[in-house]
Amino acid sequence: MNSETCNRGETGILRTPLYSTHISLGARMIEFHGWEMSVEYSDIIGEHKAVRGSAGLFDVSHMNKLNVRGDRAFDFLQNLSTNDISKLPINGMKYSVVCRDDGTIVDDIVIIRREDHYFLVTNTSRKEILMKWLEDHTPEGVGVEDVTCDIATLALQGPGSNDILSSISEDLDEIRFWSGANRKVSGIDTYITRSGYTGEDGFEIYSRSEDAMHLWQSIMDSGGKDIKPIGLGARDTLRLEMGYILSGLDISDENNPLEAGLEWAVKWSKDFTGKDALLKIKEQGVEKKFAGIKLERGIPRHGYDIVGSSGEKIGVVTSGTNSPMLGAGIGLGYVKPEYALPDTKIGIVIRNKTYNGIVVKLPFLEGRK
Amino acid sequence: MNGSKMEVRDGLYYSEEHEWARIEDNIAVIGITDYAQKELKNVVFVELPKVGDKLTVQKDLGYVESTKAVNAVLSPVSGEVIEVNSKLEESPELVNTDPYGEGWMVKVKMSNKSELSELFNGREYSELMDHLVK
Repeated sequence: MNSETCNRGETGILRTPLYSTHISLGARMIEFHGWEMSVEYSDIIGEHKAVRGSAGLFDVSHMNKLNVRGDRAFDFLQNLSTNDISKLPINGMKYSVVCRDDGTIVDDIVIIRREDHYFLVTNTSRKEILMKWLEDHTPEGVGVEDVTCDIATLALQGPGSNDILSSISEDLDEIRFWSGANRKVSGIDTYITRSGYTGEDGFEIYSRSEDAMHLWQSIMDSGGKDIKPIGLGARDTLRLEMGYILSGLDISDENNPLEAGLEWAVKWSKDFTGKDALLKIKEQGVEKKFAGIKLERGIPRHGYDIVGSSGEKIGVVTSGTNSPMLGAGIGLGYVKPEYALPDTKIGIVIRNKTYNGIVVKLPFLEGRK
Repeated sequence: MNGSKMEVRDGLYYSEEHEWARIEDNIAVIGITDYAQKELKNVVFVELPKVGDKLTVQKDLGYVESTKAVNAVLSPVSGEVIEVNSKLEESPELVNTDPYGEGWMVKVKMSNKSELSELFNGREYSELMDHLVK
């Protein structure tokens, strides 16, 4: 990593360019995979509802960012991950999964095609594992540059996002869902994609790190009373209501994309690392399936057992929370395939007690993207 | 904390782990303090013992869950549970809105009243607060 460009605290912990902004806003800071991040400003439920109701601004500058360049960059990425980027236009954006030869997951990634290179956004919690994998598999003629600390990322999310950003930005109308463009925002050079991790309309805005504080303030000023700063706590509850997978928790070294419900991002018509193994798994059938779970009472959390009607273990919760919009415990996890159908009755074991629930179709929260 | 004021009520006993007990004869009414609820924020689930359960001082009485985390509530005294606040099942947020009132958790018939001498009074707990929120 380009470590000389990273801000660090006294203990060596990484700080985003917005660290002092978070402190002045009274954020509760936590360590998140080597980064000092804001988990909440006011409270998670209030922040969550602000994003669903109007708009919220997130600092997600800790997300791992890579530039991939060179004559063979396309071939490298096309073979590296499961989705097909052959028809990706300039400024197009694609979700994909990096697998090992045996079909297990290294990480899930987003690939954005720029004019002369590819820009990758990957997970902080899986950074070491992914970077080692890339180091071992990057061929001659391809350069992978870590630009995490050079580029800040703000996520503006919520139904009011378009209005808030439009009033301080060059035209946004032609930036369609899951595509990007260069735009000046309050005079600052940015790259904007219409995308996010909340299920709401919104943007992810990339700028030079040194411009991040000015950019944050401009967006907050534009939003006025209709925008709140949002921490990682609400980021997690928002993505859970949509059933979005979080790499490192819901998918990890022992999972494959088929059991994780990610076959939509696996393109069998092309070659990629892990294809043979995944074809074999597809033929034999998966051993477990990813499912959404809703409880009558209680909150499912990472590592809790999922049980069938006679108390036998049928799976495990990978992440969960209390849904602020539904007022119910919701969780994601893996169950034996015969239990994965919606409306199947299951139980979750919480501190030796079984709480009743059902398997539900994802997303938990309907009527969104 | 943001330096916001923590309420400490006179006449209650307090544990270092931020539980309170109000003593009525041989009965202790138990809850968590204003400081504890402010630290937790958004209490969304409370798991309480059953009437008749025996509690041991400093051992788990129940659990309060915020959106993000699970926190054990430790019993400030030993004894038998004679009543639980069933309102918290439907309205766990009472722990946030009224920690010393409607947010109470259990009533316990104490088996060893001398345990109270290990707890803080309001003034001592306030001093602990001053130290914590600095």
